[in-house]
Amino acid sequence: MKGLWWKVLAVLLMLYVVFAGLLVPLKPGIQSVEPVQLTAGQQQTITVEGYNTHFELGDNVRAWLRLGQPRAEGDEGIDTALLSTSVQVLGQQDVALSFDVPAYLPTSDGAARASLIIDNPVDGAFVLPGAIIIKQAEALAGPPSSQGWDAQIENLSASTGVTFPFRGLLAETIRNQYFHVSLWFALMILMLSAAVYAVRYLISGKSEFDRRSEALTKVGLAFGMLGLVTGMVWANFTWGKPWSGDVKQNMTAIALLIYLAYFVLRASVASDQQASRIGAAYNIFAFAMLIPLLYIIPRMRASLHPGAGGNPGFGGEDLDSTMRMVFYPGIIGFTLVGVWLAQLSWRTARLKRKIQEQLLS
Amino acid sequence: MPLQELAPHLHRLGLLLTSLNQCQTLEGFFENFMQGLNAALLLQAAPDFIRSVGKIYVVVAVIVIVLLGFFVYLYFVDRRLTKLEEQIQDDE
Repeated sequence: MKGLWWKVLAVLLMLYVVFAGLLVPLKPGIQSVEPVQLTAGQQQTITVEGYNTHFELGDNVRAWLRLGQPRAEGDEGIDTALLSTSVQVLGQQDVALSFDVPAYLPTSDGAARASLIIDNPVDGAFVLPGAIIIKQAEALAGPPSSQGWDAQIENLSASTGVTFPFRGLLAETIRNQYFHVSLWFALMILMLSAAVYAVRYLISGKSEFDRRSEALTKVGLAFGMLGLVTGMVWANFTWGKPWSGDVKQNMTAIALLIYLAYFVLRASVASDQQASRIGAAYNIFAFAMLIPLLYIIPRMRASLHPGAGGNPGFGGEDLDSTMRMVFYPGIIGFTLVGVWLAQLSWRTARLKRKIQEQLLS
Repeated sequence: MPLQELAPHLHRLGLLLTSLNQCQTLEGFFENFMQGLNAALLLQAAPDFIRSVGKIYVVVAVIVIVLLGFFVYLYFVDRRLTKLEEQIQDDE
């Protein structure tokens, strides 16, 4: 059973990725807040719907409204936060928070955006950035004041256990990192290998290299189509429609069409050897186009796609260390499955050639 | 998972089985199933069930699509091998 070990590895990795990717829970988070607007100078209550929270178990629920004031460099700064005056737990996921909002905001803008921070001993601390807008009451117009905004956010609890980050818009679909994104990373490796085999074919003229290049491109294109369709399914429930003409979607479609043309080109040349040579040359250019289309152009334009602006996909809450423990095996797993599928194709193509040669002789 | 959370899923499964039972043709099955699914969605208070249950179905849909893609690929390789086998048999 020589050469079988990596196929076993592929199966084990994929099983691990599916199980870990689906079963590890998300961190507690805040799903919705009602109302989203408060007026300064009033005692007001907001109801919060949590996600994976256990408000009934954690007996000491505390909440703060923290104003999004960027602190000046070197400035000690005032902690512009407001502690809730009372907390009423309505259920594991629901809590009502009362805030005694001071009459004046620390800013002169007339309104300020506040983040909601909730802490309890079971779930740890979690935040909904920019959850609430606090408006200055017009009747109470006055100079900005930080009086009353001096609550200390301290003694926060830490959550325990292995969890994936909770991102408001993504929610459970953050798990697609292991299936949709891994698939695209695997596609890059497959297409790179295909281009390398194309170069090796052009140098050596060995038909085996061309068969491998073609097979890897075939699987890569299949992965690309799956990546596009899975992206559309996700977009339908995140962006509201499957195709919104987002730059990432459009460029991906172009990249796939370029690769589709590779097979059209090969099929349109009558001589096998010429088809191989033209195909190999085209494959190299197609790969050279793939990188700007998938990774450079979408980052230069406004895109809705997570990780499209800058490099957030490589840091912060979008991909933390628990996610890496599933994401990286996912990339290896999908790549190995891809090579396996490609190998079936190129072995079939080799067999076909052998049979044709024997039939001719 | 508490039983209340399971209830809508069981309801959907029941609808699927009912529509399977009632329909002779595939087309009729899909029509019936979609009607049932829509009814099930209306029963729930939340505007879309995928959001109400934490969007986990989107992830499941993605995994299912990827697996189906692999199977379709395998089917085509299988078909090519069958053709080659036929060629060899013709030769013999």
